[in-house]
Parts: sequence; C-alpha cells; structure tokens
Amino acid sequence: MAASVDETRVAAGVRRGEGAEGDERVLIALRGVALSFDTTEVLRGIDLDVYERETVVVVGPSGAGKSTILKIILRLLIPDAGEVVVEGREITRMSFEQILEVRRKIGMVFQEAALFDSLSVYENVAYPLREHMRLREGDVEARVRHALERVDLDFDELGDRLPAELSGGQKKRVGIARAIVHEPEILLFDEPTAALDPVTSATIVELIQRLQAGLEVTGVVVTHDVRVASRIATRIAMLRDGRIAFLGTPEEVRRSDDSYVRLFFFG
Amino acid sequence: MRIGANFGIQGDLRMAREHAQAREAAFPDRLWELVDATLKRWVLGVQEYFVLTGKAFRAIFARPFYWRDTLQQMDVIGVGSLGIVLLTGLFTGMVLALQSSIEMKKFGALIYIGRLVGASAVRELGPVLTSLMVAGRVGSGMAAQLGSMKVTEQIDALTVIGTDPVKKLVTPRLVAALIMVPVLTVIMDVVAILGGLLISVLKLGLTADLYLRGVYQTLAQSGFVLGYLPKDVVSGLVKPFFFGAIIAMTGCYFGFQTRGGTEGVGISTTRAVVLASILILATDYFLTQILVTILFE
Ligand SMILES: Nc1ncnc2c1ncn2[C@@H]1O[C@H](COP(=O)(O)OP(=O)(O)OP(=O)(O)O)[C@@H](O)[C@H]1O
Ligand SMILES: [Mg+2]
Repeated sequence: MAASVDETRVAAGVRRGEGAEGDERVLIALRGVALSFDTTEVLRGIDLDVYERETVVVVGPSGAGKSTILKIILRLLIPDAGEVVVEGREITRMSFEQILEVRRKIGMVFQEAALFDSLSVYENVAYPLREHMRLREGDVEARVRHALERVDLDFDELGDRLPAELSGGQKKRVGIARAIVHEPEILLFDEPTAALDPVTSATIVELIQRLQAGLEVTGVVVTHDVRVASRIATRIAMLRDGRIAFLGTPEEVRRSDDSYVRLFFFG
Repeated sequence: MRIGANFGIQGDLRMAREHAQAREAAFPDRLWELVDATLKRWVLGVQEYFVLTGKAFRAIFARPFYWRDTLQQMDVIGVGSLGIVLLTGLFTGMVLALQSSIEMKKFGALIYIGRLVGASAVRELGPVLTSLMVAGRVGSGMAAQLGSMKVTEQIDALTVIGTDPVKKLVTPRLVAALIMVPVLTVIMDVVAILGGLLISVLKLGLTADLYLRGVYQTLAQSGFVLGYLPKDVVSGLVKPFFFGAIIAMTGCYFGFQTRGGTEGVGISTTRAVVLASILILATDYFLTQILVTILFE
C-alpha cells in the first residue's frame, strides 16, 4: 500500500509545501474522477492527493465543481468514473455501514452552515457526539463548551438560541464547532468566508489557522477568495474546465507565469 | 412585376409545403420523445417512492430507533390535527342528518337516521375525511419541512454526521402517522355520530335513545369480528393505516425530491397534498373492494 502511494506521488510530480513535514501519508486521493449532471460534464478527470496534515485549497470560478469535489469525498455524490480513496480505502463502492465509519472521521462545514433549524445551538453542536458516542451529559456539555470556545462563541449566551436567531457569521462558526466537536482527522470547508464582511472573514481565517496548528487536521478548503486561499493553504489547486489546471504552493502561485493563474489571482 | 410576384408566392408556397412536410416528419418523433421522457420520469419516480417506503418500513425494526422524534411527530399529527378533525366531524355529522332527514321524512323513515349517519361515518366519511384533512395539514407540513432541510443542505449535513436521513426523518413520521391517523379516525367517527345526534334531537324531534339505537343496530347488523368488534368498525380502522402510510410517505417523498430553493419547497408542498389526496381516494376504492370480500362475503 505504502509503495503504491509513493508511486502515485512521484508520478504526479507533487511538491510538498513548507510547514507540513509530518509523515507523508496520502489521506485523500482522487484518481481520474469524472462526473456529469444530465448532459453537462462538471468534472472531467480530477487527480489530487491530499497528504496528512496539509491544507489543500481548491479555487476556481463559480460553477467549476468545487462543492462537487467535497461532496464526492463524502460520497454524497458518486462519480461516474475514477477512484476516491480516503485513508487508504476506496469509498465509491463501500456499503452504507462502511461509509459511515469513514464519515465519522470527517467534519464538514457547509457553504450556508446547514445548521439543524429545529435544534438549539447546543444541540446542533452536541449532535455528532450523541450520534457516535455514548457520553454522559456532563461530558457532552464539556465538549460542546470547548468546541464553541474554539470558535470564539459564548456558550452561556448562545447555547440556547435557535439558528434563526444567529447572524450569518455566528451560524458559520457554530457550523465549524459542529464539524470539529468530535475531533475529526479530516476537515472539509465549503466557502468558509463567502458572504461575510472582511472583519468576520478575517476572524474565520485566523480560526482555521489555529485549528490547523492545534488539531493537526488535514483540510480541504473550497473558496474563491484568493487572499483567504494564500493565507491558509499548504497547496492551492486551481479548477478549470473540469480539471485541475494548476497545483502548487502559494509561493509557486506568486511566481507562476501562467496567464490564467495570474488573471485569477492578481486580476 | 407580375411574374416576380407569382414567383414569390410560389416560392412561399413551396417553402410552406416543405416546412409542413418536415413538421409532419418531426411531429411523431418529437411527440414520442416527449412521451418517452415523461414516462421514464414517472416510472423512475414510482420506483423511488416504493424504494423509500421499503426503507422506511425496514428501519422501524433496525437500531437506532428515534423515539423522541417519533413522539414529537405523534404530537404534531395527533394533537395538531385534533381541532380540524373535531370541527370536520361535527359539521359532517350534522349536515348528514339534516340532508337525509329531508328525504326520509317523506317516507316516514326518520327513525332510521341513526343508522344512516352511523354507517356513513364509520365506513367511509370517518377514514376518508380524517385522512384528507391530515394530508392537507400534516402531509404538506412534512413536505415543506423536509424540503427546506433539503435545499439548505441539512439533509446532507445529517448524512455526513453519519445519520441515516430515512431512519431519522421518514420512519418517525411514518410510525407516527400509522398510529395517529387511526386514532383521529375514531375521534372523527364519534364526533360525527354526536353531530348527527345533535340535529336529530334538537331539530328533528327524535329521542337520543332512538337515534343511538339506530347507530348500534347498523354496526351490529353486519356481524362481529372476534365476537365483539363490529365488522364495520374493523373495516373503518384498517383503512386509516393505509392512508396514514400514504400521507407520511408522500409528504416525505416530495420533501426529499425538492430542489431549487424556496420556490421548490412550495411546489413540493402542493404536489404532496394533491398526490396524497388522489392516492387516498383511489386506495379507498380498492380497499373497500378487498375488505367487502374478506369481511362480508
Ligand atoms: N444536483 C445538481 N443537479 C444538476 N446540476 C448540478 C447539481 N449540483 C451542481 N450542479 C452543477 O454542477 C456545476 C458545479 O457545481 P458546484 O456546486 O460544484 O460549483 P462550485 O464550484 O461550488 O460553484 P460556487 O463557487 O458557485 O459554489 C454547476 O454548473 C452546477 O449548476
Ligand atoms: Mg459551491
């Protein structure tokens, strides 16, 4: 297994970014992934390896298929062709029970937070704990409190509120708390800063940076904000016409002379 | 000039003829394509409906069972629909007594009003009206709630956390409907009979005793199951089980099918109520046929 992973790495000619020296295990691998909706080909062959403890940021124009890639990693969508490997196991043909086990190791932050609107903030964040672990109520509360602290939210003030009573930025942060409360190994973010003001957006970027340092998670972050991308990325993957048109460190992006990359990043 | 004009017209005629021929050739093809696509979509939809129903029923017997959600749905369906069921039942019973009294008076058959109201309420109006009211009130709510969860990615979020959305969202609604629709039907039956009693005593000058004896006679007349359950009551209680399943499954199916934002939620809601009502009425016919064969022949 290790040998074949190494081979694909060499074959793909992947360069690692700085600051992610840990062991170089591939945690998520997409191989030749293609997907069409009706007649439109959205993805036409995506190859991407995500190493343990790195953060790959996927950028690209609206409708390029960025959210689709995250959904494929979670098997909310099954690709027409290609392989999806998470922690060394192919997931596209797994049974329901097997995929549940994989999903438990992943936390996902949705584009619009996707909080359960009939549950309080507390119950939203506690939900993954209640689903996966048999914990005493005291332990649940301690973990929820801790997760909310991590995203700078006041447990005592917001715990009892319903999602409808929160601002957009607060919702997103509750969404992040829900995604990290069971301490997953992999975190997926869909547009963590979209539709937020610059200040809130900056706090969320800081938050992601702190999570990277503190939880040592592997991340895939989708965004079309290039400033966010260069601040949190180990590597940046650029999606265009259903393929990854560019893959490299933020430094390599700055040095790139590819006209489309320059257009996308520097206007 | 003239020749030119002629030419022009001839040309137009020829073009028109050619277009018509082309249309004729294309027409059946295009029509067939349309019919074909529509049929395929229908067959697929029906198949998905039954797959969802199968999964929801199987999940009743598999862990985990979401008790709290089920109780909450029982509250939504049962307590939530009690008001309209009481009102519908009362007025239906009253109008039934009033309408039939006009004809029956002519034949001096007023004493049979209890029989008529009792039989109609327990056999048909109770189960069907209750189910139609619940479909309009609760089935639409299910479609709207699951639909908005779908378009705001809450169902994806559940799936990602490792919850089976069918087990968590559909099965509790199905179980709650299977329990509560028959209960509401019994309430509707009783209230409709009381509504008839009200009119018989206050307006038609019958005694309560005479009216209620009529109700009892009509129920006892067709015989009993297991010695004490009137066959009419049994048949009137088998139906709402099926109708309850139809209401829950139709609401949930259209909820899950929702796409396209809040507008999509509105469309799903309407479709759920329309289809559930049609299915209830059609199923009622076939169930009656089957029950008559089993119980009464
Ligand atoms: N369920 C679906 N049915 C049909 N088409 C879909 C569906 N989901 C996505 N698409 C289409 O697939 C394409 C990619 O969608 P996706 O959501 O992945 O884009 P995106 O890169 O995340 O865009 P954005 O930056 O706007 O969020 C779009 O053209 C979209 O219209
Ligand atoms: Mg997107």
